[in-house]
Order: sequence, then C-alpha cells, then structure tokens
Amino acid sequence: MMQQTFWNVLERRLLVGGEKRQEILTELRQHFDVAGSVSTMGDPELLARRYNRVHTGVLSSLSRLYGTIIASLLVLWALSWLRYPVPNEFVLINHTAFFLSSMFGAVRGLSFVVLVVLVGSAVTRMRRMWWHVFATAMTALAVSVLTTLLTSGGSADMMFPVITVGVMTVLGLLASVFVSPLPRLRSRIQTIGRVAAESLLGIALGTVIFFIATMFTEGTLAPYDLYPAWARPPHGTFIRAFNDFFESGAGAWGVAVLATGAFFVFVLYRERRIVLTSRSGEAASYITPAFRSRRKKYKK
Amino acid sequence: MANKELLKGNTRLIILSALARQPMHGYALSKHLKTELAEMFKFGVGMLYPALHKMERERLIVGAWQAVEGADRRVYSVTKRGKRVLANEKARWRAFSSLVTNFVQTAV
Repeated sequence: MMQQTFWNVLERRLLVGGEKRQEILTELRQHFDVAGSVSTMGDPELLARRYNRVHTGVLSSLSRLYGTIIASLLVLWALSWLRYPVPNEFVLINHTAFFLSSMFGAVRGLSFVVLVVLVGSAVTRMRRMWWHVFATAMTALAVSVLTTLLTSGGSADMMFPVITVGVMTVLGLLASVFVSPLPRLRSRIQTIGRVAAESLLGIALGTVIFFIATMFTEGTLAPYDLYPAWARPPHGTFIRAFNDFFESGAGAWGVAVLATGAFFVFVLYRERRIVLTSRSGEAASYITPAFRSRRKKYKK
Repeated sequence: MANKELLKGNTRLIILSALARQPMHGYALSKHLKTELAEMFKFGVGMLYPALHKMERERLIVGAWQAVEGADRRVYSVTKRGKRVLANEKARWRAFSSLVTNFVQTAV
C-alpha cells in the first residue's frame, strides 16, 4: 500500500479526537520514521478500528452503540416490572415490596444516568465532537419518544420521559467535560479561562448533584415520608428505622452532602492538575516521574 | 510457527513482562518482541500500539514523552497495578503450562 494512502485511510477512519488523536498519529509516524515502511503496520482500517475500540468505547461502532442502548433499555424495562410489582392498595400492606420497588426504581434511574455519562464521556474524545454530540442527543430523543409511545400509549404523561431523557443527556454531556482528557494549555490566559469556566460549570453541576441526591434520599431511602402514620411500617422494624433515619436530621442531608463533597474534591483535584500541567509548559500524565518532580518543585 | 490464538490470550502477559525488564518505547518494544519471540508469536505493529493504549487506559502501564536518542518518544513503563497483574498472570501461566504439560505427557 502506498504510504500516503495508508495515512489517509488511517486518519479518515480514526474517530478518536483531540490531543489523544495527535498522540496516536505522532507515535505511529515516529515508528514509521525508524522502520521506514508502513507494511509492518498492517491494515490501516483495522488499526483505526482497534484504536477506536480502546478510546471511544460504545461509540467505536454503530453496532456497539445501538447494542448498548438496546441492552440498557431491556434492563430498564425488566427493572420497571420490579418497580411496580403490586397494585397501590397492596403497597400499604406489603411494606417490603414497596421498599424494594423504591430501591429498584432508583437503580433504574441511576443506571440511565451512568449510561448517559459514559456515552457523553466517549463523545468528548471524538473527532468532530459536536457532530457526535448532536447525533447522540438525537438518538437519546428518538429512543425516549419510541419508549414513551410503546409504554404510555399516548397518555398525558407522554412528554415527561422525553424531558427527563433530554435533561439527563445534557447533564451527562456536561459531566463528561470533567472526565475528558486535559488539553495542552500554552498560555496563562488559556489556563485562567479554562479554570474559570470549569469552576463555574463545577458549581452549577455541584448544585444539581445536591438537589438530585436530596430527591433521591427523599424518594427512595425515605419512601414513607409523606404517608400518614397508620400507613407506615410499624415501629421496631428495619424498614421503619431505615425510613426514619433518612427522613429527617443528618440522614436526610448526609447522602447529598457526601455526593456533592466528593464531586467538589474531584473538581478541585482536576483544576489543580490543569494549573500544574500548564505551568510546566507541557501536558503530561500526572503519575509520571517527570510530573512528580515538577510537582515537588511547584510545592516549594 | 507463529500462533495467533496463543498470542491473543497472552498479549498482556507478554507486554508486561517485556516492560517490567525495562521501560521502552513502541518501536523498541516491537523489536524486542520480534527478537525474543519471533519463533512463536508474530507481534504486528497494528496490534501492539492499540494494545499499549488499552493497557494504559487500564492503568497497567504508563506512557510519557521522553527524549530518546535525540527524538521525542512515548516511553512506556509498568505501574504498581501492572506489577500486581503481571504477578497474577505469571502464576496463571505457570499453572496452565504445568497442567497442560502433565496432561500431554500422559497421552499415548
């Protein structure tokens, strides 16, 4: 294969974007410079596909993407049966079933958030990122409309899942900014701009995480908080004690404070990395020996 | 007598073993593997580099740009986690090979 054809095919098929893309191409070109031939590198299409699989996860191919979406929908569908296993009037008698259904409902919701964050994080690593953001958002919207049509039969609540999916997609994409690879920052202004923008975004996301965690605590960990006394599980049972712990006091805020705190620790750690790597004048992995020595120097 | 199937299941073990001896860049590693294992495994470059990236994502190895012989090269070294995995993989390989050796020797 002609060398130029090899590089053209590789560049066209390589979906990985940003700094990682440059790194891959530089590394291969350096290999080529020493080896003197591209023949040892094999099929460029296969090579690109292997890199895509490593760096873009479920987005490396359409079959993987849709396979993941379909598998997730099947899991959510199965969990939704666990969410509503008994009629409402029975719920008041069978507290264990109600408690379990609340927990499974939370798992269903959280599994969706995790999926969206994973897809969002993969999207930020791609070339032509905005095209993929648009395609992912459209896919999420189409899936939510389809799911709604299949499950609600066009009832008044039809728009609710669509809005939920939309909000989760946006949140996932925002959250994915924090797990995306750090860019090579060359100037102080770029560094200040990036730190300021990420800090604002971090505060906004932290607030959202706090409210979601509070709602999660109230809706799932304290499912009986709005029930009249006679409909609650009797005193002395595990379910009642669990519910009462998370209904008020430290228990009601504990999960939200822990989740938000953990998020802010992560944000601060990341911002620190941006400052350190940009001061050093090059983007380096934070666990390399070279970085460690720079970090010591910076600390002094 | 290169065996693709054998290579598939043991890529991690082979790369970790090579990098545990000394940190290397991609080209040096490919040459090293070619010299040491050419009889049994054919390590194509198209397979080696994505495998290195995958292992880096799994935090088994870490790559850093360093000046080697006047040029910037991405040099890979084994992390603590990688060393733990290497020890496990070695034990697994020893158990597997001794089991198969014993089994084959008893064949008529």
